[in-house]
Amino acid sequence: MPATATDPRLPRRRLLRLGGAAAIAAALTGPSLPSAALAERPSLAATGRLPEGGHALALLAADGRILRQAMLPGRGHGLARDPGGTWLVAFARRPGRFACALHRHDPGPRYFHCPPDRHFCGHGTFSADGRLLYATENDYDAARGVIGVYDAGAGFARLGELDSGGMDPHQVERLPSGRLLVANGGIETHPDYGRAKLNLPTMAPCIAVLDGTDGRILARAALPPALHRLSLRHLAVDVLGRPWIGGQHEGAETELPPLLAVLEGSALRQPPMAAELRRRYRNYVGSVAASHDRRLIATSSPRGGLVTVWEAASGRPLASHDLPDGCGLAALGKGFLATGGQGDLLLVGDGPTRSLARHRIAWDNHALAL
Amino acid sequence: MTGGLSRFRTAVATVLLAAGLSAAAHADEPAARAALQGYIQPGFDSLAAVAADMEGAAVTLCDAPSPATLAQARAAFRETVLAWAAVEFVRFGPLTEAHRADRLHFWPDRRGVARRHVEAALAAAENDLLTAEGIAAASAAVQGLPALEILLHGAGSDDLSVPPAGYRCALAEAVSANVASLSARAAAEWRREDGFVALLLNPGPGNALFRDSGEVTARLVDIPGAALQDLQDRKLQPAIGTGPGAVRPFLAPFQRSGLTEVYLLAGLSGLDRFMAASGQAALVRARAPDRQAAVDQVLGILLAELEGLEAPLLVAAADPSLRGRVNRLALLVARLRELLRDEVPAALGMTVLFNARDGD
Repeated sequence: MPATATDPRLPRRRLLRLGGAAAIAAALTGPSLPSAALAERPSLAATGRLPEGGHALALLAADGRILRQAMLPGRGHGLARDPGGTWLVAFARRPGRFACALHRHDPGPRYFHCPPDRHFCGHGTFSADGRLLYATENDYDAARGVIGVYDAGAGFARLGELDSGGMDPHQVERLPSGRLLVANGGIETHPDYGRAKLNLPTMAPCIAVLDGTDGRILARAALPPALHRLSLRHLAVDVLGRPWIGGQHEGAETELPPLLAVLEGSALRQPPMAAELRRRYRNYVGSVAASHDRRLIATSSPRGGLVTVWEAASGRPLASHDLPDGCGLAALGKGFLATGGQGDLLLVGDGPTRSLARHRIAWDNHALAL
Repeated sequence: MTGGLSRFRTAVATVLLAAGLSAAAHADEPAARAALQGYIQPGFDSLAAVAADMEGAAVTLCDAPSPATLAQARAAFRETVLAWAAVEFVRFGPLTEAHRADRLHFWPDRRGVARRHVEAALAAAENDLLTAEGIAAASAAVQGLPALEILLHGAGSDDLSVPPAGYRCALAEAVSANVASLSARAAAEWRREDGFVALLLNPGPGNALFRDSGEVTARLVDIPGAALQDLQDRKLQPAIGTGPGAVRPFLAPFQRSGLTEVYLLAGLSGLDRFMAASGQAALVRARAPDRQAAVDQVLGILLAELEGLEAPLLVAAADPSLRGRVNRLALLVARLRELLRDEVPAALGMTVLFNARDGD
């Protein structure tokens, strides 16, 4: 077979021209692959900081073994995969500009970037047909949130952008309807100021529903004005199709408001969160995920060092588990993988937790089920 | 400017003496009580006192506009800014309740919101802003020191010395009164033994914020590092830019009143005193003497460099022949941030968390 066929730098279109998808798949999973680990299908992905410094995107087996790693040019954040499972994309943490895409059958990472006058906000999602990648971005000179639109079939060339419906778009997810749900955190930042928050007195977080094809803002929802410092940042959709949104409170640390909101119809409702749990969360939800059957929702607080599993239908917390610097969450088995900044990989559900592994990697804020 | 700096040094020496004695008297107390009595309470008392003086000076100015009363008001403003610099990094409890920190010092202000709001208020002579309730309910950008600076030092401010006093003076009076009120409330809350003070002094399982004394210590040790991060990201770097051609003076705090340098100095020396008063410096000296020596050395050089600048900071930053010194300043700030944010907590055995510290 021609040596170029496995060259990871080759765009997929070129590969396709070389002899059809079937031939390529055979070539890429054939004996030229360096190890058995490469052939094993990963179940999970997460980014993290390596012990020797540097950052990587790691693909994990369901038991927590690391199967593959791709180096990242800087600290990573959120991850997205297309519905067909062809692409996995990791985004730079704010205010980075790189993204790293891995093809299912191609060991080589491909890097692409947002325009120089934008930066990624750390999350993205694919369209239902897998052709388009939507990424949250900051048009920082205008202090305006946008959703960058990238063509998965053309080396992730940027096709344009949509208004995100608010400032500081953070996580974007595709709803079962195919529409996009954006958590606009409401916090103004500018790369000239590092990661400093510039507008806390006036911040106005909101949830926006967008039509991903024409960018129309179909709905917006916000919490009452008294909660305007609760930055709405992370989300997952439950079995009833309702987005659960996790917030981070930027007001006084003694205030301890409930940190979750559920979008029901066009209104945000806050599930009760007991005072003791609010105290343990320290005004901070770092990640939200749904289980495979979407009947369970998990939330994490690295500040409080805990992960909580909620019953979606009733809105009740079922169990909380200690996890130092714990943040990343992804569906695994009947429950969740939870990752920690000290290297822990934990299996959590509504029962006791099980430690899967502890790597010498400081796992970042997010993980993803593949 | 030299005269101004030496006056500033005298003021620092006085407070330093008071804080030192107080800290010594409570050497066996936990860090929180030492920080509270040795630094936080006297610091906020000073702020409340000078802010009350500022309000008085504004009243006098409006009663009898003259070059002398305007100069007095500007001098009182300066004292308020310096007292603010010495406590603004104690950014928890009473300073964050009711958003007092943002209302006292709306910053950063990349798009000049304070200037636009003040100009609009002046143009429309908005009477709503002249009452205590009106100003306290207005945009944070017109409630505090940046608005007062524009009124006392901005374009047209010299008219304040000519009678009769107009809307500008009345607004300056209202803003001063608001600053005095916010400062007095913060100081009073720090003097109460319930509320946030009770949380800080009584860690335990039932405490809403601090489960044990280690968490209190960690919160106190976090203050200097966060202050240096703030100095670097929000006060210094955006204004000095990447080179002499990229200087944006309006992004420097208190640039309009020419107080940028003394404000930064007051913040750094306040931090120095805070670390002494809270016992942090002694603790680090005992556990990791080389780290404390490094902090003392870098902070000492930084203060000396800042005082020794032969031109105002932003002028030096834009002057290719002086830019090297400004770059050196920025490097010292970065080094001190690294020491206080990473190395000192590590030396004290505190785990620097990857996700928890700087979330997203």
